[in-house]
Parts: sequence; C-alpha cells; structure tokens
Amino acid sequence: MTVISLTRGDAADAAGVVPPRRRRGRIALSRIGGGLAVLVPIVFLSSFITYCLGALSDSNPAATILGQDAATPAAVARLDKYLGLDHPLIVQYWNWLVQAVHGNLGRSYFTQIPVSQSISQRFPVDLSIAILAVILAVLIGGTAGTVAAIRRGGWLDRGITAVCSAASTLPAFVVGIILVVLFAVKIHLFPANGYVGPSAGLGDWLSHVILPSLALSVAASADIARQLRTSLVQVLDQNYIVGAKVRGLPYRRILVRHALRNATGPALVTLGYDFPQMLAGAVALEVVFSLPGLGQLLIEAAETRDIPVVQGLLLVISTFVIVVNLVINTTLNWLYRAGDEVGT
Amino acid sequence: MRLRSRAARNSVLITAALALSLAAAACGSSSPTASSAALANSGASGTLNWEWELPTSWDPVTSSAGWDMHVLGLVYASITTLDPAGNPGPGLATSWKYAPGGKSVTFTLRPGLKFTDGTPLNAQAVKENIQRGQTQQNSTIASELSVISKVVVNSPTSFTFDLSQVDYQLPYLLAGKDGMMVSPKAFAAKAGVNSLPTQPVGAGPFRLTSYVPDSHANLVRNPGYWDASQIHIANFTVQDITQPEQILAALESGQVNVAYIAGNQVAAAKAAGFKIAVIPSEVVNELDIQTTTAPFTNPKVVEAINYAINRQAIVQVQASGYGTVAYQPFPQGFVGYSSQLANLYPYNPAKAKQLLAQAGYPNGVKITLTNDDTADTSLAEQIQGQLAQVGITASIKDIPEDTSTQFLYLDKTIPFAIDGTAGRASPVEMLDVLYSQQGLMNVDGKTSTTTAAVSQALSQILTVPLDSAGYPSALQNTVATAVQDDPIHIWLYTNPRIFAYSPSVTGIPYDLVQQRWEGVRVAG
Repeated sequence: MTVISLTRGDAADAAGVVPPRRRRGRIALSRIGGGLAVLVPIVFLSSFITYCLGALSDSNPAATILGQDAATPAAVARLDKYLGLDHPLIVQYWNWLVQAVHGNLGRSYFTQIPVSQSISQRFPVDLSIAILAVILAVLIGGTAGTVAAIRRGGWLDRGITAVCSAASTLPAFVVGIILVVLFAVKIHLFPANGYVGPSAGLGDWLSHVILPSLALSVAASADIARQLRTSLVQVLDQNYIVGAKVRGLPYRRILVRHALRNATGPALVTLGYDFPQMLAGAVALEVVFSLPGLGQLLIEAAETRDIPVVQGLLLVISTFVIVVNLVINTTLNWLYRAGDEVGT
Repeated sequence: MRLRSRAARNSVLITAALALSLAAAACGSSSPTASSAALANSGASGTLNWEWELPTSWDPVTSSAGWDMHVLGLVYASITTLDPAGNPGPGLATSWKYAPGGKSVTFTLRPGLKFTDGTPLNAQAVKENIQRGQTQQNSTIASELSVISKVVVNSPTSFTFDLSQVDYQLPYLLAGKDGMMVSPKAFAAKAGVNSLPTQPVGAGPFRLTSYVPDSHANLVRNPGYWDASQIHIANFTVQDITQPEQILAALESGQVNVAYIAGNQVAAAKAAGFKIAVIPSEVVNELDIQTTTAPFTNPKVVEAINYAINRQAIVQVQASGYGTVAYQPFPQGFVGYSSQLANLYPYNPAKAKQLLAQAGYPNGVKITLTNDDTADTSLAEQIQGQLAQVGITASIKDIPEDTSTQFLYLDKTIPFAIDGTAGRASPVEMLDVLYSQQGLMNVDGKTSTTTAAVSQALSQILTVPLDSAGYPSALQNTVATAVQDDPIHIWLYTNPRIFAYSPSVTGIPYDLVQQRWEGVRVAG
C-alpha cells in the first residue's frame, strides 16, 4: 500500500484553496510572463519599424563617413559592402536580428566601437543619476511632506506647499543651470559638467553626479512631499491615531510606526511612476552637464543614421522600461495586497 | 556640410546667467594638479585640460571627420609636420628628396624611433601603414593615398614612394591623417584593428591612458616622441562639452584651462579674467552654386549674388566680428592666398540689381537656398534677407545634415546651398576637391566640364616643386584662375579658432592648419 503524504500546501490545493503567499507568487509569475509577452513583440516591431524609417530617410551613412574628400561612388559602394548596406532592407534587418539574438549588437558605422560596449559604458551614467535622484527625492520630499503634515496650517506648512507648487513646475534642465551657476561657477564646490565613473573614486564620482541628480530630484521631491502631506494629514485624523495619543504613546512612535506606514502608499505610487520619467529626465540633463549617457549617443546615432547604435539602444531602452514598469507594478500590487490582507 | 565652428546658440537665458556669474566671480581658474607621474617627465609639469570635440575614431584610417586631426595629432606623429603658416617641414622624417621628373620621392626617417608599445617605427612600419590605409575596407583615406603606387623600403630609416603621377604635394598630405603612423603591432590582428578606434598606439607627443566617448580622454606625455624636448606638459585631457554655454562655466570652475569658444563668448571670457587667442584657420564658409541650373546658368546672376552679399555684416552677426571676409578658399598668410582676389566682390547692391536687370531679371528672380544645419538657420536667414534687398527671393529649404553628402556631392541635385570646408593639409588637394572635374565639392560635376584653364592649372601645379622659387606665385595663380573662371563657390568668411585660456597657460602656438602643443607650458 502506497502512503501518499500531503503537505499543507498540497492539501490546500487539493481543497481548492491556495495559500496567500503562493497565490501572490503565482500572480507575480504571471505578471512577469505577461511582461515578457509584451516585451518581445514590442521590441521586434519597433526595431523593424526603426530599420524601415532609417531606410526611408534618404541618408547614406557610407557617403557621410567618407565625406567631402573621399565619397566617390566607387568608395561609397565599397564601404556599403563592408557595412552590409548593399543588401536588400529585409536581409539587412534579418542579419541584424540574428546577430542581436546571439548577443552581438554590432559596431557603430561611424566610430567602429561595439554597440554593446557603448551602451554598457553609458547606461550606468543615466542609471546612477536616476537612482541617486530617487534617493534624494525620498529624503527631501519625505522630510518636507512629513514636516508640512505635522505642522498643518502653520507657516511652515504653507511655505512648503508653496515651494512644492513652484518646484514641480521647474524643468530639470533649468534647475540644472541654476545649480551649475551656484555650486560650480560661484563657489567651485562641484564640477560644472562631465562625468567620471565610481572606479575613479567614490568621492570624485559623487561630485560629478550630485548636481544632475539634485536637479532631477526637485520635481519628484515636490510630488512626494505633496502626496505624503495629504495622506499623512488624513491618517493623523484617524481614530486609531487619536486613540494611540490618548493611550500616551510617544508621538514619534505614533508618527513613524503607525501614521507614516499607512500614509506612504500614494507617495510610493508617485515615485513608481516618476522613476522611468527620471531616466528620461537624466537623458535631457546629459546636455546641460555634458554627460556621456545614452541620450547623447541616441541623438548622434539618429542624426547620422547609425543604425546598429539606434537599434541597440532601442532594444536596451525598451527592455529596461518594460522591466522597470513590471517590477514597479508587481511591487505596488504586492504592497497593496499585503495591506489588504493585514487589514482583513 | 556643417562646419565644426563654435557657433553662437540661442540659449539667451543660459548665456546671460553664466556671463553674469562669470563677470561677478572674475578671479581666474584654479590651477590643475600635476600627478606624481608628471614629475618624472624631465621638467614637464602641469595638466592641460582642453575643451575640444573628441574624435569620431582614434584610428586615422577610419576617422570620418577632417576635424579629428587636431586630437589625433596628440597621439600620432606624422611623417612630416606643418609649420604655423601651413608649410610642410620635418616630422618623423628629417628630409625628403624627389627623383628627377617627380614620380618618386625618398624620405629619411629619424633613427631609433619607437611607438609607445615599443615597436620600432622604421621604414617597414611606414610601408605597412600606407598599405593599410590603401587597402583596409573601411579606410577613409584610401583615395588620398592612391597616388602612391608602391612603397620601397631602402633601409630601416629610408623609404621611397613611387607615384602614379607627378605630385609634389605629397609632403603636405603626409602631415595630416594620411601620414600619421600607427604601431603595426596594434593592427597586425583583426582584434587590434577593431580596438584602434578606442585604444590608439602611436608615437605622438602624448599617450592615451583612458577614454570615455563623448566625455573625455586622458593622456600622458610620451617621452619617446621625436620632439619631446618641446613638450612641457606632463598630463593632457581632452574634454568634450556639448553646450557652448557650459564651456565658460567649465573654464570658471577650473575644469578646463583652454577652451574653444564662439565669438560671442569672448567678452564674457575676458571679463572673467581669461586670455583670448584668435588663431587664423582654414575653416571657411561658402555657398555652393550649380552654374548648370537656371537661373545660375547666366554668369550675371552669379555675379549679382556675389555683389549682393554683405560679407562683413555676416561676419559681424554670425561670428561677432571674429572672422575674416573671404573671396577665396585660403586665408591671408597662407602660401596659396591670392592678393588678386583680395576684394573681388565688394558689397554693392546697386550693381547687383543692375547685373540682374542685364541678365533679364529686372523684376527679380526666385531661387531656393538649401541649408543642412537645421539647428542653426541664422546664416541662411541672413543671406535670404540680403538677397531680398536686390530683388532675389530665396526660399530656404532645410535638409537633414546626413543627406547632404549624398544630394550635394554625389547626386549633385542641389543648385544652391550653404556649405563650408575645414581646409586640407595640401592646398592642391583642397582645390582639387573644390574645382576639379572629379572633385566632390564641384557641384556642377555631372553635367558640365571644368574649364580647360582650371583643369590645366590644377594639373600644372602638381608638377611644381614646393621648394622652387615659383611655387607660391604658381599656386596663387591657380587659386585665382579657379575662383574667377569657375564661380561655383561663393566664398563668405573664414572662421578663426578662438581659445579662451587660463593665465596659467602660456605659449599656445598659432597654427593655421593643425593645432599643436609644442612649447606650451602650464604653471602650477
């Protein structure tokens, strides 16, 4: 006789009831699967459309590379062959796709630098600025929102609200210019522009990314502060907060362990939606701070129809945006479900 | 074709904010710090931080911009070098001698030369470099080197170029990218060729130690450079700052101590305590005009346009006065500058109207002006305004920059366009590109033939030895013939290289063609 041992989960499954943790796991997995199902056709279609648009643009990379001195028809034909541009469009695209699937994004027509090398060098620039901006936004916005809420109606609250309203309308590049004038030109505290990686020294790296990150964090800080203030004011009016006060719990404990925990949801949602925009904002700030990021690479590649670079960037950026959105949505979903379950 | 000149941008807010802050904080830049490595460099010291555009490739064979020569010259030494006035002189080669008849030339190299990777720089290395430039599939210098039919190694320090035609201009050519020597060890394998765009190995005044594309390049002095005794800078960085407005901020914050600026930034830089060097260059703006397309088929229309353009006003508006009115491709001071053309078309709108009437257009004429610099249309608009004053209605057609080579030079389908050129090491090469039948910038090309006088002059000048007494006048006559007989280019103005630099930097040379750093010192 075979003895079948049912574990707790199996028993629950057998009874048709899935435990919450496993259910959440399944939901997360299905979301990841869904995300991938969206990612693959988007990347495929967008890369094909980009290729076609490049072909329709009338530009001739070989002629541009050879320039005023050397772009004779024979030299252009030779370089076309070397670059693989002598094939029909569909063959060119297929060749690129096959190489890309095998992890080879090719080389820039103009610089001869491998596309993967260019992207891996530049992506950390934008990412580090965006991540540092998120940290600064949480610190600045979180502090300002909390102070405004606990000083509700006072001059500090009104002052913070007014500053936030103004700050949220300021484009990051304007803030960037102001910061350069103040901190680089006037008091020489930070470099005006340029970038060095963390390998050159953490302090040196931080001095180069702090101003762009600060510029990028201003609008997000204002958003977080306003959201947090509104929700915290509501939470602080709740009966359980009043009860906690009546019971004599220390105010700091009430604020941190009870009020803030329940008031951060909307601010987190804002942050979740702001992060991909921050990445795009980092691209815009590259111009102001002369940062060697993806944005400059993309602009140059698009201007010269450097197709391998444009395609490589498209692949990486679209993948990144979809994955980040997926992670944020899954995390927020998990947070809310956790909250609901605790609430029930 | 967009020129690499520091154009004034329209970011008034940015410029104003930075100019104000610079004026207020006029206190000089902070001194760069010399590394300990610098101290070992036999008296060389300091760091020169140069704001300049980084190259499209660090490989001279695949570099796709003539402008790259300025930066490539930091890591590569050339067979010859150009003196400040643009005349060829000794470089890696101490001398050269043409065979009677001018169809071969023998060069003598300095003894004991080495690349920075230790590979000997001898005649065999030169041969391998020339062959790579001629045969590598993606070479951008193959056509220029095609005049060399054979390289003969006579000894480790002597080699002979057999030429496909008499060409006394070769020493000029070998001072530019064509003559920049790359270590053969670096391009012996395919992997080496692939790494050259980011990891150059040359024998120039400096050696590249790190490079971040679109950001900066760090270099250290190369003690093995043939003219190392004239290199007094221990460390060198090239920093590429995209926004002109940010360059002044970088100067003021001490990030760079020599910066390439636009004419409209000179006053702010001076107010902030920086020195200014206005260095004449061969960069020149012009209009291409297809004399095979109506109404430009009538020479009087072309002449009318020449008289209708107020070049001095253009220099004032486009370059804040820092430029020189031009009626020819070469600047004053260069051996090819023709004094015959010094004031060829003085601004004269009345005469322009009269010429138009004589051409059969008493009530004006409509034309299209093509502009490929869509980021800055101010020059096109200014020319449009000047032409309108004499009755020529020019509509501006903007095209993407990356299509201009195809349409303007290859298809030759653009009748009237704003263009420019950054000059060439060889003046005859420049004239050839501009005026010869096969020259890409000869926009008439396909449907007409270059006049016999111009063709003959261009062929003839190749046969004149550079050291002959008659060379300057022969070259100047060729320029005058080409400009007057074949008016397919309306020359506008030359753009100087304007540097704003810290008082701690001294000795910046005024090189017409390629910026060099011999004799420059950085204090502190």
